[in-house]
Amino acid sequence: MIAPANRTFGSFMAGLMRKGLEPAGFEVVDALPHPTPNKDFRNIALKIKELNPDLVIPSHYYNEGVLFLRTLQRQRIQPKAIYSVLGGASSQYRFLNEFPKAAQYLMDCNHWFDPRSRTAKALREKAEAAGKTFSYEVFLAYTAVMFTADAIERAGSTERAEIIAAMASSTWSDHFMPYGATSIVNGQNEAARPLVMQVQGKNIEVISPLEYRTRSAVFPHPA
Amino acid sequence: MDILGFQIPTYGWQTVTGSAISGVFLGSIYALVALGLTLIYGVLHIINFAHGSLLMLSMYAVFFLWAGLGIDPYLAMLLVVPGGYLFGYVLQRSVIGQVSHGRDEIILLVTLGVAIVIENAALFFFSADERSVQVPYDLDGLDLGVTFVVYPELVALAGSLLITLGLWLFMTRTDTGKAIRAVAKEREGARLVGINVEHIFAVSFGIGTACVAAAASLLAPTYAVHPQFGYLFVLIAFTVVVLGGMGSFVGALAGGFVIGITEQLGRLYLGESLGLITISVIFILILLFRPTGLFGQTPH
Repeated sequence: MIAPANRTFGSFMAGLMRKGLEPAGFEVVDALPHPTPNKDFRNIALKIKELNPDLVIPSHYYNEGVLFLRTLQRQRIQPKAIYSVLGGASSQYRFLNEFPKAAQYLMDCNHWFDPRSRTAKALREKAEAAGKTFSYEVFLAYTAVMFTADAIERAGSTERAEIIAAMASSTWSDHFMPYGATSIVNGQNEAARPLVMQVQGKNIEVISPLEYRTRSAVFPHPA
Repeated sequence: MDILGFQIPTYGWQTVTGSAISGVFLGSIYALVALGLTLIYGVLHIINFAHGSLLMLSMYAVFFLWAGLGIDPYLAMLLVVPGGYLFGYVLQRSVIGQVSHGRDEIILLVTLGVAIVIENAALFFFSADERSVQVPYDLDGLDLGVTFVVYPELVALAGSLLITLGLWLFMTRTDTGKAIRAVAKEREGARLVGINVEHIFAVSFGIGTACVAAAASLLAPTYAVHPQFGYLFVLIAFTVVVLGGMGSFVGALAGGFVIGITEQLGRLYLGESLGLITISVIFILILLFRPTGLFGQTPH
């Protein structure tokens, strides 16, 4: 069952998943889009309870993510797994710290730092020492600034057109994301790849792909 | 099920009953927010656009009392309700009353301006981050079979009933309540018999703000607060006030339940987004067939 935000991002993700899930052997029992912002997820929880899917795939922003996951918890609904795609709360340390029970065993396919990288580890310690959580906003913004700095240096200029040209031809790889060498096509980094994380205890572990894995996946969700 | 070419999904009775019950609890939240709004409209004839911002501000007060001093959101009511009253009183006396010169169009713009200032101040000082209160009884509650109702939802329902009763008693049994009603009915007449109309205006605005502060305490265990939080409920609260009848507390309560249940059933059958249209349909029907609302008085 898919539960996306009814906006450009959520609708696009839901369409993409419908297209990809069925050929991969999944039956999509229903898609339940919801408005953003949303103040109540009890109807969706009731529908999930009635349809009893093995897997719930939410895709929404942080605030809706928190309310959705807490509603499922309050309604005692526990599918075999919740696997969010670019989920707002599912791999956020803030949500884990605030609602550790609701966060347990959540999986999320999302952008994430290379857990083997020493630079990422050092940056995380620095962010946490400053009282911040090491969230996407921190490591993706940091990476974007480093990417821009590399482009400015290679352009040897602060002219907008020259920086854009340097970005478009970038093969920058000195970062801590699991992307390898940058490859920009039509403004998109086609070398970018997500990882799959799962909340286990007080940590967010990488469970896939194998080369970045820090822990094995826990599936199904323990009773 | 196919109705006029539209595919309407069918659900088991447990889901439908659970949805209707959830509508009662959602309706109690609407009623909580609408109670202050209807008081301010009923007396001052002000459509208070700042109501949502005041709700948001009260939520932040509850959050910081919890995060900084460890005060439970329900206990925080003892501080935020008097604080809300004082804030509302001063706001009306020193800003809205001073600037508006009694002209409705200016009052509308002033409350809108106050809302913009409060929201942007919240954004500046508190950032756009959502902040949640965590309470130990968050997951405890009653299993009704078709749905599980947690204590924060039950307390919000009880709170909306008690606040309605309290306001009704206050308005009918106290001298201040009678003065408020007198000012609402005949401003000049009230002034002639010695009522300080400006003070009563500020008192009414203060009580309306205190109501929204109480609502904030009751909502805090369920909802995270952020600078745009007020919009989630206040636009629907306006519909609740129109449905119940401007200035009617019982109407706000009944209107909240009607809107809550209709919205939940609408969202169940029409989908989470399209289902919201049921609120607009009710609003239009009320304006067409009973513009004074369910419990509103017909002007003579």
